[in-house]
Amino acid sequence: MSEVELVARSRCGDTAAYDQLVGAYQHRIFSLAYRITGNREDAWDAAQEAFLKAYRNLRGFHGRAAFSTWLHRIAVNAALDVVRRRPAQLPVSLDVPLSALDDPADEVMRKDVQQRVHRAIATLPFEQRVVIALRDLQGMRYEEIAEALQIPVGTVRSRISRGRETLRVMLADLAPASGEGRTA
Amino acid sequence: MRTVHVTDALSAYVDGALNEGERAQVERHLETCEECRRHLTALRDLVTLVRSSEPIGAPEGFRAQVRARVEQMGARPSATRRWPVMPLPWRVIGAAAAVAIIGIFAVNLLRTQGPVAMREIRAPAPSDSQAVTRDQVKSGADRMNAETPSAPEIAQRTIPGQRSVARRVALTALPVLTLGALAWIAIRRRRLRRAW
Repeated sequence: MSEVELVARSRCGDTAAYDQLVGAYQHRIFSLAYRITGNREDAWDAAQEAFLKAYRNLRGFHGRAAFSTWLHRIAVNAALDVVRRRPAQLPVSLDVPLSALDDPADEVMRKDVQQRVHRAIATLPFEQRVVIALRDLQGMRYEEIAEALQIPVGTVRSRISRGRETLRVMLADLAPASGEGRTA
Repeated sequence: MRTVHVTDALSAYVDGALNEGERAQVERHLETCEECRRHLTALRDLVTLVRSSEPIGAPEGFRAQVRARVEQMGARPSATRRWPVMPLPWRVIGAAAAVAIIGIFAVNLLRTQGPVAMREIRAPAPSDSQAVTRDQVKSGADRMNAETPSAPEIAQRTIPGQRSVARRVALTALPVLTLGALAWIAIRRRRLRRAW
């Protein structure tokens, strides 16, 4: 069944159809919520709320935007609600899933890098954090981000530029050893 | 010669989000500016680093909980909506209605002619009409004289009766208060549902 059909059935109250949509988007939406809120508990709350809000408001979704874009907008707002209700706290430890690496030392180093990147993103101002997450972690184009957030493309561009500049300075020591004359 | 760097455009350049003219301008500048070339390399490294982050997937049980909560909401999504969908937010409609009704209330209260005055204008004094001849009735000025009340009568009629004022206040205040209460409830409901 196509996404358009699933959305149409969900609008009529077909909970099984909506469950299929949730299945298709749950990882993306949870991941986005995690990057915006900074920790798993808040990400769970925000992502749950996003899917429930989307289901409640399906009647107001007229198909002018892509369902994905519309859902991302709801998810960003849900994450913002959670962030505003509870001050964002940096995670003490990062639960990064272990992958099959032979050398445990490599794994520790990788976890450390992941942690650094995650913390750096979590310290960005909310607006920059959102566009960085949508661009670099969700892979959305500038026009899609602009539509999801209801802001001009120029604003998307400047927020991404400023956010990346801040990250570049914070993570300068993680840059590859090759290359000379790197300035902070 | 002052060099204008293209650092602001480099992020968009990395993402392929520049138009043809902007891209050509950036590439021309990069050919001659080492500082911007270094900046571009550092930016590309940063983007690679961020994009290599492990995707954090939804944990076990997430999907099932969404399904359980959706099914609790009822068979039809529309069943959960208690406020009908309107083109404007409910708080705007409520506030506009309250302002309109308050405006009508104020105008109503400030009106100088009431029901008492209307009855007196329709019935002129009998002595005046008998003294008027046929020719004089045809002239507009005399008709006006027959109908225009004397000065004491005007003073009496422009002050509305106290009982009618009280009734008007009560009749207008009731819908004003009702609509005000509805508007307040609408605003409170929206505030409770959203964090801001």
